[in-house]
Formats: sequence, structure tokens, C-alpha cells
Amino acid sequence: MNGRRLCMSGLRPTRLLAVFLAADQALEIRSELRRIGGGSGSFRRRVALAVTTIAAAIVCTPASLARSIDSPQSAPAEPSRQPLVVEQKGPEDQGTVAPTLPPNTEPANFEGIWKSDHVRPLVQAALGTTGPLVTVEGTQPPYTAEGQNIFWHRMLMEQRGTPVANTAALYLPSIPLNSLSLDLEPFTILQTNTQVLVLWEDGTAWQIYLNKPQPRNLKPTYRGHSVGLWEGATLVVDSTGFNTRTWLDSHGSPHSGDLRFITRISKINHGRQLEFLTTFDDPRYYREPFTVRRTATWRPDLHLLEVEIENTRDENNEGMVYEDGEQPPRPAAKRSPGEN
Amino acid sequence: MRTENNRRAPLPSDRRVRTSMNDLGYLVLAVLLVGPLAAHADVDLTGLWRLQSSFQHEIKTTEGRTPPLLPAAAETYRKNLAKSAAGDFSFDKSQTLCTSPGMPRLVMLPYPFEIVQEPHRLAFVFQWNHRFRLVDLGGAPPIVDDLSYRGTASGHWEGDVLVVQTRGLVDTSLLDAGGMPHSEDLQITERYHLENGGRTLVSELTFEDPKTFTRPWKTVVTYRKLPPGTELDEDVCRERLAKGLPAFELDKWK
Repeated sequence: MNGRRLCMSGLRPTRLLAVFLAADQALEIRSELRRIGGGSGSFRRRVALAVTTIAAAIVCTPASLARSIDSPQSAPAEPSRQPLVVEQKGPEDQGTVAPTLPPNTEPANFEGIWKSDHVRPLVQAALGTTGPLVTVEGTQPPYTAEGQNIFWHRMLMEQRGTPVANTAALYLPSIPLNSLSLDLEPFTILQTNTQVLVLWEDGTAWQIYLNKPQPRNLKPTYRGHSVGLWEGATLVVDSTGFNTRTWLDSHGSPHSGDLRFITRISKINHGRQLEFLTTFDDPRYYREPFTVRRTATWRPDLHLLEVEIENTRDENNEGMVYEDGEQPPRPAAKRSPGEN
Repeated sequence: MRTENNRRAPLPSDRRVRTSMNDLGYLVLAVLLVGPLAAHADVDLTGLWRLQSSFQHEIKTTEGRTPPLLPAAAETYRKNLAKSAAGDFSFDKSQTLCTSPGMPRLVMLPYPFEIVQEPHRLAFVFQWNHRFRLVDLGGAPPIVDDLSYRGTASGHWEGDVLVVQTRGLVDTSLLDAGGMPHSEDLQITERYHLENGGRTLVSELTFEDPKTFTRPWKTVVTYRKLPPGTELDEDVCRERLAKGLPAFELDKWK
């Protein structure tokens, strides 16, 4: 499945939603396969599925779905002043998850397997929302003019059928919290007196060093540098030191090298969920700090598998635009019927 | 991975066992329970480690010999070595696509790695391309429900020695950068212990794979501990490939 072609083929958002729900079902089937044993076929399927899922999640953004592409050359509409539709409610509101083992009841012990509840950004698209990140107040991030221009540019490129490739599309790292928004896979947390370690199936490791100050003169990196301390049963994490290649979300919200965010992680719902309240601060692209909420559910029934990308950079990226200035692959030219 | 299988609710049978025991039984039980826990507390592998012994481009036995390959595997290895010498790494996706080199290569790279140790599990976080590996310390042998480059690992303590068994290694991975093959039946047993006042970590690896080797064989790798407070650097293999650099910067770590 070519995710970009799917997005640009004129399918209605509801149809696309169904496609993605089917992909999610495939993942659930895969979860069943992993329980009964899969052999090498399962391994290859996992690689292929991971590539397909990541590619589709990257290119099928709400920007491409929320509006019909009647006039690709027209300027993007200003964002609605109405509050955006609040994100999909988590299991704490739906009561649908019944873990097979009781959760760890120690308030300040996050060890175990968790799965992000925010896995279907397309649900927002089907409801007509255009915001990439939604704040806890249900509004879009308070972009500065410069930040909004970059965001609109990326949204417009998406609508024109030449989406801008983010780092995930290039198989490069994202900021740690982006995994909470995109990943369909579980993650695990280990913790000691000196470190809280969050590991995702895609190999992403979020290392949170405890009771240490942020070092001076951090070298900018994709994942930045995170330090944390416990305030009672809440882990307060300070992250900074990012390069400027990553986005805050999969849709195009930019950040500068001055990005800093504070994430307050705590157990809720009697230990069945983790809540991540992240306050982003980046004066260049956002007028004021804003807070985004994510949750993850205790899933001791899941195992962490290994996900590896076996694509070259240009596979699945046909027609995309690279912001690093390199030449992207071009779509194959159409040939007339009689042409050799 | 099966990381949570040590936690279970008490069963009625547990109570029956306890109530039927006399004081001596309690003492024996206490020794049995506390003994292993004390071993855990005494041995802490937490920290950053870096290869101290020489990097083995072509993996050798403890005696410095080529492992005892069966004829078909030896032929595959010979061809891969020839390609490698000619600069053709098409047989190795870790060098062409930055996929994980898998086990045992992850623990034999010259890049640093960090061990994060909990009572019931242990994580290796490798600097090279931010890969990781989890080891369940529940004591049961690894239950393989999927094949992977890093395999499925479980461990237990034998006194001060951590014994880690790894199975479920996909046969498209290789045992060294020269291209030594293996089958899906490969089992690697690592025996880790500390020396030199905790500044040196020694790992004895045993390889068993009747479809690839004529008999089990061993090699030994040592690591030195990096100063406290040292942190792993970010390493992005794909970025190197995009610049035309090799996936593994072996010269940097000489």
C-alpha cells in the first residue's frame, strides 16, 4: 500500500478512516500472531507492516483529509476560530480496556508495558479538525506569525500532493514525545534511582536522568536531553537541546533550537493509565507556552517486539519534498500508449 | 519479552504450603529466598561500558581460531568475506540500511552501551543507532514467540555470574561483519561477571547451532567501565549513510 497515493486519490475521509482502522485491526491480528508464535514469516510481516504503517501515518495527515482538494493553488484557509474538536477520549472515559493482570499499585513506579491511547489522528480528520496538536483547552497551539507560516506551508504542500517529509519519513529520529502520538506499538518503562528509561518497539530510547541539572552547552540532537525529578508521585521531566530538524507532531508544527518542554508524568485511573502533561515553550514559534495531554494504558498482556526499517530513504517517499535540500525522487513520467 | 511473569496473585496452594511448614521449613525457605536476592544486591552491572578487548571483524573462538563451521556455512562465509574484502556489503543490511546488526554483534561493537538493571529485568541500551535489548531475569528459559535480530533473552544469577540465554535470532542476521551465517536454531549463552574491582566486565559467549557448527564453541569479550556520569551520545546511522559515511565508524573507536 502506498500511503501517499492513497491520500491523494480523492478518497473520502471516512473511507480513509476505515482503511486505517483496518490497519489497526491488522496490528491486533499481529498481536495475536505474536502470542501463538510466528516464525520468520512473522518477522518479515512485522517489518513490512511497520514500514507501511509509518509511511501511511506520516503522509495521511489531517491536512490532506480535512479539506477537499478543489483548488490546490489557492492559499490555505485560516484556521477556524472555533475550538477544535477535542481528541479521542481515552479508555479511562470509555472503560473498554481490561488488562489481564492488575496494575502495579505503587504510585511512583511506572515499570511495565504501556500502550499509547492517542493512536488515531485520523479520527480528528474525519471529524473535520485541522489542528495537529490540540492543547488541553481544546485549541490549536498559539503559533507566532512565523510559526504559523511554516505550519501552513507544510499543510499546503500536503494538499498539493507534494508533502514535506518529516524526520520519521526519512527514517530519522523524532522528539521522544512524538512516539506517544504516532506509535501504534507498546512501550516499556524501566526505572532505577538514577534513571527512568522509556523504550519503544521502534528502538526509540528516552533516557531521563534523575536528580541532575541540564548540562551546559548541549550539542543539539534529534532527541534532546532530558532530566527529571520526582515531585511526590509525579515525575517532572525537563527536555531541551534539540536540533531543528524534527517537528512537534506529524503534521508540521515547527520548533526552534530554543525548544524546551516540561512533561509531568503520573499514574491515573488507579494505576491503569499514565498521564503525560507536556508544556511546550518555544518563543520563536509560539506566543506562549501551551500544554498537550497524552495518556497510555497498562498492557501487561503485550510484549515488546523489534521493529526495523528495511527501506531505503527514497522508498515510499516518491513525490515528497525534503527540507534538507536534497533532491527527492520524482514520480515516474506518464507514457503515451504508443510510446516505448 | 515476558517481563511481568514474576508477578502473580497468591494462590490458595501457596497458603497450604506455608501453613504446613514448621519453623525449620521457614528457615530453609528464608535461605532459599534471601540467598538469590542477596546475590542480586551484590552485583550491579549498571553503568556505561565500552569494549576493552579487540574488535573482532571476523569472530574467533577463545583459542583464536575460526569457529567450527559446517561445510555449507563455511562456503557462505567464504563468499561473504570475499565480498567484504572487495567493499561489497550487500549481504549485510546493517551496513547498507542501518538495521540492527543483532546478537552477538551488538555486544561486540566498539561503541559504548549502558546497562540499566532492575531486580527482574535488565536493559542494554546501545549507543550505535539507539538500539536496545531487554533481558528477563525471571529465571525461566526464553520463550520465543517471534524471530528478531536481537533475539529473545532471559537470564538468571549463578552466584556473581549473570547467565543470559538468547534464542529466536532470525537467520538473515550475521555473527560478524565478515558475514558468518547462522540458522534460526542458534542459541547464545552469555556469562557476565565483574573483575578488577567492578571496573571490568567479562563476558564468555557460547554458541550452539547444530545446523551451522560441528560443535558448540566459545569466545570471550571484555569491557571497561566508563566514568560515572558519562552518558551515551546520540548516534544516527542513517545520517551517516546519507553523507556517504560507513554505518559503523570503527576507526573512530580504535
